[in-house]
Amino acid sequence: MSTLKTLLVLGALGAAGAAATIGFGWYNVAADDPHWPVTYRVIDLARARSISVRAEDIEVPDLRDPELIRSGAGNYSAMCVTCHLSPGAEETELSVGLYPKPPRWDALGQADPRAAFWVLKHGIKASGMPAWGKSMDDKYLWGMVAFIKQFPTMTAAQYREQIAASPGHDHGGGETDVGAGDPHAGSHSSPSSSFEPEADPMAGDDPVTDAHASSEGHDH
Amino acid sequence: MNTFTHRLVMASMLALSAPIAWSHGTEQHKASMIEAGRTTAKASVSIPMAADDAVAALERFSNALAAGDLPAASQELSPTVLILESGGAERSRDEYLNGHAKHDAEFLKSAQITLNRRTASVSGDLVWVASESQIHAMKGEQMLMILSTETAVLQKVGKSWQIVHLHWSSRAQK
Repeated sequence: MSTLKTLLVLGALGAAGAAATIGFGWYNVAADDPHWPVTYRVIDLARARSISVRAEDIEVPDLRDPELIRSGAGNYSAMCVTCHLSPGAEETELSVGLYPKPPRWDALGQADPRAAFWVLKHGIKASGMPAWGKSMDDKYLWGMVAFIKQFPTMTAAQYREQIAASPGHDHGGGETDVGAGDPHAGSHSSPSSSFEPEADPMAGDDPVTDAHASSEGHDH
Repeated sequence: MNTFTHRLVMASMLALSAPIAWSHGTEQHKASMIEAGRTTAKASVSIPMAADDAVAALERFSNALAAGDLPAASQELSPTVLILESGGAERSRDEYLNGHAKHDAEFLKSAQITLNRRTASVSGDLVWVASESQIHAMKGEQMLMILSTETAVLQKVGKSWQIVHLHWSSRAQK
């Protein structure tokens, strides 16, 4: 009986401690205040197991299909490169500031294709990784998997060539500017049509703003 | 009414009436007001006769692009055409056709394009053509009113003219 009482008291103290931690804002959610190493390892293990269990029955298409790779190149450059970078690329403001740190392109190249597809499709909670499956059909997601599987042997020049030869940010509709812009515009973010003025992100909802205002909007 | 009160009343009346006076009016923001197509008839042009064939090639390209006929548009482009727009570059015909071309055609096919002004000049086997146009188009629920400028350079290859450079720039019409 005394053991039960002890457990109840400890449980109550634990719950009170958790409530106090949350209520008084003691837990720091800042991305520049990393988890304790043990916390990180536990979360990382949970992430890996969660993905592995859910991805194990996924059937992988032929990832050597040139059209699949070509499709994935443009979408990778538009949707992934800002965080995951590319051969020869420097860190970006976004990749530096994210926590947990997104895996680099070379790590993606080593990923299991089923796990890569699952993560692309469903995203990962509280990590900054979006669920691209909300806007992309599976075949375009597989295109990105096929493309990242080329990374282990890819040079910076080959990366640029493949992006230039790709159809750009194109996955059958619903494409929006997701930060990296159109790969055909280099590192400059632009609308998909050559004739639309660029929107100033500081100018609210109006997509038609002075192009000069846009060019000066990113200034720090 | 003292002077201060008078000024306050006048300022309030001006402030209330300004949005009405300065608005474009809803008639300019209806999709039904856009007549898709390209008009050049009312343009102010200054084109020497020697540039006529080159300008005709540019017109074929513009009309084909606006009609979504990319094979026809591509026939007017040099294989090594350099296309600059909004700080970006496409360095060959194939790169453009595999890149922005379909987005451009998609955007232009439902747009009302009016050529306002065009100037051209010839120098040997090269012609440059500078054009200013107005584009009205719908993007979702919003109407875009765009002033678009284009610089085209064409080179004579055999008996025909090919576009070797295009530079497009756009800004919102105020």
